This record gives sequence, C-alpha cells and structure tokens, in this order.
Amino acid sequence: MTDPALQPPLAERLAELPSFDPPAGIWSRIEARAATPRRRPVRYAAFAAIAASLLVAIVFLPRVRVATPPTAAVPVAQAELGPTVDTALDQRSAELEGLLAALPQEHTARASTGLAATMLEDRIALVDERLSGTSAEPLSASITSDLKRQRFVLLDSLVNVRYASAVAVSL
Amino acid sequence: MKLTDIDLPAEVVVRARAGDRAALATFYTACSRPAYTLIRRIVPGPAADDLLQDAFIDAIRGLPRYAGDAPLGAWFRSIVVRRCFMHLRSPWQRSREVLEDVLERFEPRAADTALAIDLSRALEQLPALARLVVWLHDVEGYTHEEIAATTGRSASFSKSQLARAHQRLRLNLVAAPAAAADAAPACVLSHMTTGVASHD
Repeated sequence: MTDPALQPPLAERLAELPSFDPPAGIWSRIEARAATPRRRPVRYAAFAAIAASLLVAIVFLPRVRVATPPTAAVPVAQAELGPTVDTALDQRSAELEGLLAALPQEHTARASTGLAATMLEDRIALVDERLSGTSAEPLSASITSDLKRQRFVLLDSLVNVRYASAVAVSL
Repeated sequence: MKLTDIDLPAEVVVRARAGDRAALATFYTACSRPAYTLIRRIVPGPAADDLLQDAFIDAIRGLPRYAGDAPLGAWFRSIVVRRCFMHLRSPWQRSREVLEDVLERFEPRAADTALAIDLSRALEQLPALARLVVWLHDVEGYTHEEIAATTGRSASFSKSQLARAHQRLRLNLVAAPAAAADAAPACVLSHMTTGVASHD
C-alpha cells in the first residue's frame, strides 16, 4: 500500500477524479421538457406525499411496541409480548401487500423513484429471506419481531412510493 | 474542465437567450460534462440524471435574466449547485436518509463490511451535506463564506463539516484495503444486499 504521507493532499486527489459523461438522450429530454408547460407543482405534491407518509410510518413504528400495555409491575418477558406485536405486524403487512397488489404497475416518472422502489423491494426480499429461517441458527423471538417491524416499514414505504409514482404518471 | 472555465461567445449567448435551438445545444455541449460530473460527485446515483435535466431547464428558462457579468459557466454552476442542495435538503431525500438509518441497524453498508473502496467511493459514503461541502470547497474552490451562503448555514459550520469529512475520507481510505483483504467473500454478499451502492 502506498504510504499516505507520500500521497498528494486530498483536495488534489479529489480534483483528479475522472469526469462523467452525461447519459445519451438527456439533451432531447431537456428540449422536450423546455417546450412543455411546467408540471412541477404536481410532482412536488406527489413527492411531498411520499415523504410525509414515510415519516409517519417511521414515527408509527416505535408505537407498535409502546402500544402493548404494561400489565404488571414486574417486566413482562419478551416472549409473552411477542405474539401480540407479531400478529399486529403480520396483519398490517398483509394489508399493505393487498394495497400493493391493487396499485397499477405503471412506469415510473423519474429514475430516482424507480431506484427507491427497487431498493425497497430488495430490502424486503432480504428481510423475507432472514425470516424464512434458512440460516443455521434459529431466530430468537426478539429478532423475529424486529425483522417483522422492519418489513412493515419497508412495505409501507413501498406502497407510498408506488402510489406517488402512479399519481405522477397519471397526471 | 470546470464550469467556471466555460464561457460562450456573446452572439451565442444572445441567440440562446432568444431560445435558438442550435445555440442552446451549444450551451449544453459545452457545459453538460462538467455539470454532470459536479452533480454526480455531490449526488451519486440515478438522481443525477434528473438533476442535470432540472438544472438545464432552470438555466434555459433563466437565460433571459442572465446579465453577463460573470462567465456563463460560472452562472450555470450556481444553478447546478442550488439544484443539488435543494435535492439533498428535500423532504423526500431526508426521508430516505431516515430510512437508511433504520435499515443500517440490521444491515450494515458495504463500507462497514469489506468492500474495497477508492477515493470516489469514500466520497460517496460521506453524509450528503459533508459531501457537498468537501466537493464545493476542495474542487470547486468555494470559500467557507460562499458555502455558508449556499447552504444557509454559518462559515464555521462549513469548516467543521470539511474537517470531519476529510478525517472520515482518510479513515475510509486507510481502512478499506485491509478489511477487503481479510474478508473477500463477504464483500460479494454485502454488494448484493446493499441497495443504492450496488446500482451505480
């Protein structure tokens, strides 16, 4: 490995990083957009809807646990609380999956939206894989609950991204 | 070449202001590569394509207001930087950052595992605002006061962001090769399971 002391300063090395060529076809898209009336208010409204819903989902997440009432002075074992929380998460996740199935499979209006949806789908697949228990060690109740919570958040985010994308395409 | 080095002949600017397609195409040809590079360094990933379009649309619509008191490239750079900053500070982007924080609790990013990284990747792994500050200061030559004016923060905020970004860049650059050598097979899995990093 090169001795860091012999290397040029970071700023120089950053400035020497290679340039990027813009993707082909960008100019024709710019020309087309410049010639059409602005749709920005609609697009911002859609993305604001996604952002607001996503924040609500994330804020809601901790309350799934908080909502479980403490029934005794002695701390209740996680194993006793687990099924209640897990059942609620399973139920809500199933509802979200139903919503996803009902949404139209439109092409996304923006590459970043498509990427967000793909990223969320990849994460959900990862969580599903872990929940399916294919690893050598069985999952503990607390890890299972945590994974289900993560799955719920991801599904909720995916619904919002897909919904906003469908709205943006239809307007 | 940087955007600030680019200036078009006055007659081309006049025609571009009037909406002449050939002049606008000349403007795009001259500025698109440095603009796209600037955007990609501040906003890695596919959003850069959208931002390039947005910046040019802003510029085309704003050209009638361009006074010509600075080179066209410098004027356009301020539009590009403003677009990048608006993107980084948008509610949607901030929501995604929150989501990423949640996700990292159970699935660390490639940088935290074993994927070998170079300076480019180390830069991408900085927090969004730190990445903006380090690129504007180190490469675009912004002063801390100019960064403060762009971001709506103080100059001392810019200085502290820059110092921390440099520290983190150096740490990433020193640590990554050793980590990669220790756990080469794991990097394949981590690359497959990390969302944004694997799409670039």
